[in-house]
Amino acid sequence: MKRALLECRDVSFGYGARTVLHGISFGIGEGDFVGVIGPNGAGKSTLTKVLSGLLRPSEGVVTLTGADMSSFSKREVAAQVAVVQQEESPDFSFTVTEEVMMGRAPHHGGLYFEGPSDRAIVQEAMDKARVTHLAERRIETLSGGERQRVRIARTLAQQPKVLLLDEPTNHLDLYAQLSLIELMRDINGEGIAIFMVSHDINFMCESCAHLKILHERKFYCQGSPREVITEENLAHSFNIKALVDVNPVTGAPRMTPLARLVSNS
Amino acid sequence: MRVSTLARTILISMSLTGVLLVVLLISLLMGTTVTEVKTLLMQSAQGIDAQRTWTIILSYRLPRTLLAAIAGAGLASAGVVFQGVLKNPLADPYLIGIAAGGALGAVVSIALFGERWLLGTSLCAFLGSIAAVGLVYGLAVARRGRGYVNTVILAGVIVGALMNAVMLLILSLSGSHEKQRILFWLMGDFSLASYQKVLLAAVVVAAGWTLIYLNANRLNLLIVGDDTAAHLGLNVFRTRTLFMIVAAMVTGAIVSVSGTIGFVGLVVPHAMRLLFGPDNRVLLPAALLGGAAFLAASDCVARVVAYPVELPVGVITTLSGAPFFLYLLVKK
Repeated sequence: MKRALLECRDVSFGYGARTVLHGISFGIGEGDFVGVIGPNGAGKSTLTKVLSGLLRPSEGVVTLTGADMSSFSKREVAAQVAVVQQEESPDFSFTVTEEVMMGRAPHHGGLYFEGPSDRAIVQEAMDKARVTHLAERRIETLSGGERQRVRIARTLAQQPKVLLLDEPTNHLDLYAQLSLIELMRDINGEGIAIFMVSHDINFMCESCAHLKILHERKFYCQGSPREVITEENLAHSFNIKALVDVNPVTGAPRMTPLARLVSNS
Repeated sequence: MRVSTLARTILISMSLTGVLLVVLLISLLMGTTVTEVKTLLMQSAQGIDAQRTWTIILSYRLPRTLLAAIAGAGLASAGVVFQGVLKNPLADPYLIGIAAGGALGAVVSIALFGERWLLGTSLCAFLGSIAAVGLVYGLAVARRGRGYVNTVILAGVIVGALMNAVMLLILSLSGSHEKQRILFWLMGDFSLASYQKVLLAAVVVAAGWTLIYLNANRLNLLIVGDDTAAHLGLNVFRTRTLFMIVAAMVTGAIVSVSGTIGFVGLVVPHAMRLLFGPDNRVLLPAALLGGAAFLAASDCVARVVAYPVELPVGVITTLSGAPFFLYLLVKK
């Protein structure tokens, strides 16, 4: 079995009295591509925050390369785990290069000026995320898809072992979504483990090797997209009647929502 | 090929140092006739006139010019920090009640001790500033969680208004001589500059600015957003608290020696950001030097424009800063 880079052991989390996650256990190993889907409010974003160390579990532990995450400093965590989260909008807009360069922060102390190696790493990250042509543009002048790629470039400059993405398709058009899938395959192909949460089921089927459905505070089912995306599972966890067939080109399962189910419970 | 940030920082700092030196020189010589300058340069110091000119420059203009420069440097740097930490382009060192607290402290001191105890005014102003910030920050921490930045701003505005009301109450009950003094203080005043004040302000601004600059990269991260900063390994709460405390101390110290001078801490950071971009490694030295030059120049103008009447320097900074700021607002 592969060594788990990031692992939840019996993790529970709640905001006050409201439990959001209960007894979650799973690991993300080298080269994994794991996706979590679930209806709104199932706790997907919370799970991402617990994995990134932003929130501490109320029970259980999250381990990073085998050791309790809370035994690492925030900077040590950031040197291994990078997060592409939903957008924050700053009032003072940096250029793309400056923004990507911030990914080097976990590898430096207080005050630093980037050296040749930082510049090389940032250049490579920008090439990979295909934002090199935007280098001198200010973030506020970019489209949603371009900003997303800049954020991914920044996380690549962090040189993480694990990349976490929270709802990466939000506000992206179809072209940008396809570009995102391609980019994540490249990143994953270089050995960076990817963990992603989204409510966009078809997008997740196309990109993830392994899927889990988060439902009522725990994983309802998990496995390959083919095993997980069935009409029964969707009915149970999303409360919808859906048609599931196969994308004839990619072979991934494909679902078409048909009607909502009226539950009598 | 892009010039590296370090090279850019050095280049910009050197150019602005040049500007600042020119401003300082002009300010020292303003009011001196050409003949007097020639006499000074010729080293013919035996004349009584030369002696008098030296005295005016050294014991009157120099401490005053230096104090204005140091105050400008500190206010502009603190402005950069507050705008970044509060993520609000309209933030300045006075937004969160520092000026109101300082004013209240100074007014209490002037009302109680009059002018006899100058250092007492400064001390009370400093204590007032720190008390105001402590109160605001305490309120924000008590309501810790989401919306933190808005809490600080709202609490600051409310605490500021409260202190202003008390200050105006005392002002209205004071005698006319005290009123005059207080008004000058409220509009910003360098006419009582001394080397003692210069030294005090210089030490606080130098120490505070250095501490801030050592964390310039962290301030960049804070500007991008709290969550992003946390994901890049920053202890957001601790860093922000550090910035707030240091910037408040710097502002408090300046308010205590110069009164409340508006607009420097708001306009200079914006102007520098417009010129050199938002990267704090470049912006902080630029604001330090640019702020110094701006306030020294403003004070020089305040001194000579309506000679022999001296205008409050705050009037000059606001008269020149407000139109510029309006232009920025419309352009954005």
